[in-house]
Amino acid sequence: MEVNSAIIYGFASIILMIGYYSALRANDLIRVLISLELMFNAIFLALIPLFAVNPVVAFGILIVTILASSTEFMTLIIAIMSMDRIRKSVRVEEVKAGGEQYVEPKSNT
Amino acid sequence: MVGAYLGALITLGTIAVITAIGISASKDNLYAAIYLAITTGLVGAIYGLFGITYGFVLIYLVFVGATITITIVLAATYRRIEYRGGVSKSWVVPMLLFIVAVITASLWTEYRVSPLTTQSLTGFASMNNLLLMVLLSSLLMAIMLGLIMYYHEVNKQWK
Repeated sequence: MEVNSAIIYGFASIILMIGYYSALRANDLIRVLISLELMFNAIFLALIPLFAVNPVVAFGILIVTILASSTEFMTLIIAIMSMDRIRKSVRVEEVKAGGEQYVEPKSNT
Repeated sequence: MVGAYLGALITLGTIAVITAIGISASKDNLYAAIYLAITTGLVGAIYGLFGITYGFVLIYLVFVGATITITIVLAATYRRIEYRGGVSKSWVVPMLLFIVAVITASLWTEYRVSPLTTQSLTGFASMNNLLLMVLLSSLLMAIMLGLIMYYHEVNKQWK
């Protein structure tokens, strides 16, 4: 009934990297949000081996992670909706520090 | 010969990875969100497989039931065919190296995980831990209220 932790860590790292890749390749904020949620799935998976060492501590960390991630996603969802209200767009390029205007790159054609 | 238990873990994990690839591959945000729900459900199922019942219930109730449902609704609202941008595809190489490094390192440790019994988590139901949960939930509510007020403010300003 025992399983090598390498299998769980392997699946967790694959899902984490797919999340990173998806976030890096995304060009709209909804896709970035979905990628972040996928990364949290990898975190949940990586937490499983800790349950075998100290279940109570692992469960505490799981609760804090779930509540923190839920709050973070709600904040991001409100931020995306507010940004859409103000900029009329949810594109990644619209996010600029200091709120400066996004200027479309000039095309050579 | 792969045991039934190990086989179930590998099957759940493989389908979770395939649906995670579906998130990255699909062009429509709605389908990406649905793939995400399936991946999270499968991660919750792995918790169930290891006997972590409370973790399974929490992931399904809070994460799949609330957060991801809202994400699906949001993705359905901002549904669009996405065109690819961002970094180049060459970023796959360091990512593959990371996966190989993690698997190699954890193989060397030969650390083994066995399923839990529900009794091992009953120690969590002490007064201090319940107080921690109540405090965290209250913090969550306070942040939600703040967010709703913020959105109302933005809405009023840009009407």
